[in-house]
Parts: sequence; structure tokens; C-alpha cells
Amino acid sequence: MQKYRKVNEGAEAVIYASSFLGIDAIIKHRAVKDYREESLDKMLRYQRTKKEAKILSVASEVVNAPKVLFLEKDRIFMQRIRGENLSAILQTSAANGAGKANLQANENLFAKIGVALAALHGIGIVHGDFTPANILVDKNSISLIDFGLADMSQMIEDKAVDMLLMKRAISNEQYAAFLAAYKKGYNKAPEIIKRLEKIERRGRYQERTLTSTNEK
Amino acid sequence: MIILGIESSAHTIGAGIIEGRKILSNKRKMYPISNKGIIPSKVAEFHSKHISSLIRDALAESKINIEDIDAVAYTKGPGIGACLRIGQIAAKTISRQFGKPIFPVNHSVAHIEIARVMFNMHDPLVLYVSGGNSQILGIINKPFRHYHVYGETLDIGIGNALDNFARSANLLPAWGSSVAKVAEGGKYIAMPYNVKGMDFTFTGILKYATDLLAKEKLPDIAYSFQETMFSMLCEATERALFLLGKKELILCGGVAQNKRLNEMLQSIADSHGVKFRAASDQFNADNGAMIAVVGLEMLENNDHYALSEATIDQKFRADKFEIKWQL
Repeated sequence: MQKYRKVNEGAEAVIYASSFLGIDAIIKHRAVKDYREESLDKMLRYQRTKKEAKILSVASEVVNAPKVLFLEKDRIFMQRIRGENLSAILQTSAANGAGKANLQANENLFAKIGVALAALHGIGIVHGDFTPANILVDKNSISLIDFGLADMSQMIEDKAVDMLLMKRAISNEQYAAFLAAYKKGYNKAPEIIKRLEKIERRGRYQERTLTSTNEK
Repeated sequence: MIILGIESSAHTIGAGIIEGRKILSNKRKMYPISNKGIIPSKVAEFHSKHISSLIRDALAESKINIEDIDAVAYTKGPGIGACLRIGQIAAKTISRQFGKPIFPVNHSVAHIEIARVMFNMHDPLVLYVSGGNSQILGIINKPFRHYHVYGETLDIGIGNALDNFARSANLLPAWGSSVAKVAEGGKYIAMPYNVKGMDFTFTGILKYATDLLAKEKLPDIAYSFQETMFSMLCEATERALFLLGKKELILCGGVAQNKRLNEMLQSIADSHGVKFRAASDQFNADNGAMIAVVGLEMLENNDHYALSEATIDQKFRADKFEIKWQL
């Protein structure tokens, strides 16, 4: 992997910049984890890579998400999407006025996110880590990235957790716009919202202080 | 400043005395565990029988009189109600009788804080693994300063999972270390692996491993059971390290003495330039000194609790306990 430029490193994978047949691409490589049993390590890395590639190829049909270009056992070559990370935008908007103006200029931003999640849930995909850190914002569009924890699921609970993660990370106003668009785009939204309210009321989630990892 | 700390949340009754950050005495007695678990009222009886002599022994070893202490701290929770009450009553009696300030302490935070203070760390990520608890925590300042739970078991604690398996396999107490012993040299068998973000569950793999007892060799099952559960903890911990960018990692709680878990976390820490330390066994076992350490921090911060506020709370979560002092 040394011939590629490392652009990001997460807990589970390393991201490299590359190009594939002339297309601007990134490579997501699930590297060996020395700490665990070799056979468990292989199983987790291979299964997750395969699953993520499959979900990405389905998801990128209905929302802006990286298209899969090439797949290996522990590497996915995918289309590189440009844009600014939403969590960075939220942080600068909280810190200074210029960022705020930027956010306001893109007033449909949160509605667009609602539309995208509605589309994903509509085809039975849950993102699994639906936070601002995994949303890229370009001039007129938003894209969803990092499907590493995504799953094919029609479980109301899983979908409600996607909603919850976003709700925790944005303001009430932003959430209202996001929610309205989600409701409009997904006919099963009422069930999901009901479950979301239930999760917020119940044991562990209610007991747990509600703070997203973006704040400190 | 001299603090007396009293711990009585589960099967161990303890009295510890510290002066500044130095431990003068740390006495404890453990209720003898049978193979069937514990009956709360019997344990409470045991605690009430031994509490006075334990405090006396601790004072004698510290070469001080009860009048010499500056405050008394006790475990408010989490734990077994009947047991917590014994420590609470002892602390309130001392506070009233000798006019000493009283401090209710969170048990989980005490396990973390004694390790943090000993290692002189200031912003660690913590993996706290015990019988009933398995949590990944870190300090956060909003809405008040506390150990925020970033991830945790969504069903049972890892210690309980190990104990439960050990009983099914007819191993001897202490079960966790019996599993570790029998696991040596085992071969790996794939088992259910369940991590969601930074949360994890253990009942699925417990059922799977227990059912396998009839079919496979015990060392292989024990090894795979332990290895898979530890890998789940490690994956969640590594994710938290990345997300939060912490440079210090503490392992504490009853399961922290496991060598294999230490080895795995050390490897993760090394690969990310993180400083890793595991709490020493004397502080992983329930003890009074850790309660005293938090009591001292509360005293130095000029906290004040009226006797009527010296309550117990069986479900006192770590993240409900305000850390008013600077780390």
C-alpha cells in the first residue's frame, strides 16, 4: 500500500488516495489487527469489506454515495467524492459568523439530509453511523460516506437509531428541517419516529447522558 | 488531609485510610462465595459483623485515632442495596459522632480515579470491566463534568459472562481466572461477534459457548470465548481512541487482571502512540482506599453534603456523578 498516499486513518480502516482507470478514487483498506486471533481477524476484515461494497453499490443507486470501482478481499476502490465535512462546518459555524452565513446560505441542507436518509431506509439500508462526520457538503448537494457500519435491515429500531444519532448532533431547528423532509420521503416514517421517542425514553439511552462525540 | 473510605457495594467490605495521595491502610474482607451466587441479606449480615473491626484495624495500622481523620467517604452506589446500607450507616455514624464531613462516592468512578491518580493521567480513555459493568468512559465537561459513557455492554457485564460460563463448565471460583487458566493452549473456534459502534453484547456468545460444552474440548471453547469477547472490547476501545483522540488509556475493574486482555490493549496502544496502564490488582478488587481517594478530591474541592444527602443509590451510574475537581 506504500505507493498510495494515506489521506485518513480510522479505527477500522486506512484510506488512501488513488486513481482508477483515470477516475479520482480512494482505497479503503481494512488492515490487519495484530492484537486479535488471526482467523477472527481475517473473518471480520473480509466479511465487512464484502458487505460494505455490496451496500455501497445498492446505496449509490438512490443517494449520493461513493460508487464501488473495484473490490479485493480487504480493499475497496471507490469513487472519490469532494466536499466539506458537515461536522467541520457545524463546528466553524458555532465558532464564527462566517461559518454561520455559510450554513444559512445552504438552507435546504438539512432537508437534503432528510431526503437522503428517507431514500436509504426506503430500500432497506441503515447507515449505522449517521452523524455529521459522515456527510459531505458540496455547493448544491450532499453525499453520504463511510458505510462501514451499515447494514441491510428493515428493523424499525435500527432506522430509529440512525435518526437518533443525527438528532443528537444538530440543533432543534436543523432537526426540524431534517425530520420534515424525512417524513415526506418515507412512508413508514411515523413508525420510526414513534420508536425514536421510545428509545429516548427508555432505560440505558435515557440514563446515558446524551452527548455526541463531536462536543467536548 | 486524612480520609477514611468505606466500601460495601457487593461481596467485599472494606475500610481504607489515605493521607494525601498515600495509602496508610486498606483492609478488606470478602464474603465466602458458594457456587450459587450470593444472598444479599446474608452478605449484609457479614458486612455489619465485620465493619467495626475492619475500621479499627485500619486505624491501628495507620497509627491514628478516629478523631484524626478529616472526613469519611462511603460508596453511594451502584451495588446491592442491603450491602450499601451497611457502609452508609457506618459513615453517617462516624460523621455524626465525631463531627466529620461525609462524602457519598460513586463506586465505578472510584475504581477509575484511584488508577488515574496513581498513574498521574489527566484525560484518559477508560475501559472499566467488572462483573456487572463493562464500559468505555472519558471525561466530558457538558452539561457538567463527568465520566461520559461512550460505549457499554447492552446486556450483561463481561465478568458475569465469564462467571456464568465457568459455572456451566464446572470450573472453580474465582471463575474469571479459572477460564483464563483453562484457555491456555486452546485452539480458536469462530463464535458470535457483536459490536455496534462502541457498544457490545455478550449474551449471544455466552449461549453459544455454553451450548458448545457438550461438543468441543473445554480449552478450545474457553480460549475462543475469552478471545472473542476481548476482541469485541478492544475493537470498541480502539474506535473510541480514534474518535476522541485520547492519548492515555486505563484498564480497570475486576477483569483488568487478565493477562491476555492487557496484552491486546497494549498492542493497540503501542500502534497509536497511546500511554496504556492497567490498575493494579489491589485496586481492581473492591476496596476502601479508592473511595477515600475520591472523598479527598471532594474535600479539597470544598464540597459539602448534609447527613440527609448521604443517601444510597443501587443504580448510581458513573455518568450521573459530577466531577467537580480538576483532573
